[in-house]
Amino acid sequence: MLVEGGNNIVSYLIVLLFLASFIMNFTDIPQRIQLQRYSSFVRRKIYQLEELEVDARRKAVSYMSSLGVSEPAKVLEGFINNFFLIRPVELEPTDIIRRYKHLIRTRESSVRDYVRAVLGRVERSVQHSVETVLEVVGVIRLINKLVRHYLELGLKYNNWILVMQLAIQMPEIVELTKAYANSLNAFTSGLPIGDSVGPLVAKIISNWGEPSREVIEGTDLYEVEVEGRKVYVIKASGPGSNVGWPGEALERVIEEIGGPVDRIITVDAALKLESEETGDVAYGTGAAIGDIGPEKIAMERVASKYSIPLDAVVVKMSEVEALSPLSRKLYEATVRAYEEVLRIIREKVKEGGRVIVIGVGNTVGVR
Amino acid sequence: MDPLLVGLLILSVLLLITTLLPWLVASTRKPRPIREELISVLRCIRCGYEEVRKYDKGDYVGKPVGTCPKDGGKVVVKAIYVESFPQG
Repeated sequence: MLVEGGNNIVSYLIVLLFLASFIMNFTDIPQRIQLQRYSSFVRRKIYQLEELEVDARRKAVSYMSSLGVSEPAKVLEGFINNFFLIRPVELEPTDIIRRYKHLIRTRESSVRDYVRAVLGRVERSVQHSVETVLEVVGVIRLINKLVRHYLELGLKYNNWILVMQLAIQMPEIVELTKAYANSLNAFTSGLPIGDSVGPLVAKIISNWGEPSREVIEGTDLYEVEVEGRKVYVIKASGPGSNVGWPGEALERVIEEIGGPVDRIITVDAALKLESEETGDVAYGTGAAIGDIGPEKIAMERVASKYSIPLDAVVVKMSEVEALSPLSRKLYEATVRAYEEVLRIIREKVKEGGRVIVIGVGNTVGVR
Repeated sequence: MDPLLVGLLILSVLLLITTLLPWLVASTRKPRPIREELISVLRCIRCGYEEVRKYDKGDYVGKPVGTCPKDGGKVVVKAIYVESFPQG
């Protein structure tokens, strides 16, 4: 009896296995189950994103309240869904940089006018920080909207591949959103972030002096002497959150000098590969600047016009680190990057020569 | 008991363990808490003397914060960074 019973169970199990195998291989049921699993995972992550957005909005509103803005929530709402930028036609590349530059400047001035209207007369660094805070909340809102869009699109058309891809990317998206949300603390308190390494190096080279003048709006020029070489240092005006216009400033400085510059050195934060260490300092050739195009091309054009060698010194970090307050590791890397710039000046620029150093990046917390 | 049945049971248990093991391991491994502190590095722009202190609200890089105890030169905030201390 026992043996017979055992055989029955085995037969049932074998039938069950065949049935399961049929379901797994010849129906869409596994994919539907996966769709449900992945979509519920994405939904859980969306709750996290929503919490981050609510927190970011609260911080932005409280920051603007502390500056005396009346109805800060309304100001925030007025900004978030507006001020988008439509990219210029790329099919026709003629004068695309000029068109890009025009659109970027137009948007920037619209944002500036909007913030100026609600803030009234305040220090420029405060104005810049409010603009950045609004931009950051706008980015967090956009990430939330995009994630929801792809989830709903996937569910609407039963596109389990789309939902699965979204689910796989969610931890990275949440991490990036957290970095944006955390960056608000730095922007509202005026703390240097990872992306400030370029302006920090520029400030060290200028020996923490005062700028000799503002080359163009929001971009300062320092003139110092380093071991018998004349060094022009360009960086965004701080200590508010500002990246300035380093390309245009470089063009203007070289045109004013009339061309005879021995070297241009750009210093910036660079995104590291996962296999690289945070704080690695590397040097190379070219313009180290993470810009859509106009500033970078301005550097390349003026350097090639006068045949000036263009060097780049970068400090490696992740996107999260670039947006978070500067860590000790990155501070030490900043000192190493400064030493690297000094080495290039010593070895490649003769005594009595001229060199331009550009500290590229956000100058928040760096005067 | 039928050896085939035993084999199937063992296989099911092994499958269950391999499915749950990564989840169990991940849930028991908790990251160590970290305490963070903001640090301001001060530097005399004449002699290069450096000092480290806790960040004061309103500090920014380049802010003049007094005179050097060594040669009376101007002392400025050289850098502000976050120092992390693992706890526990």
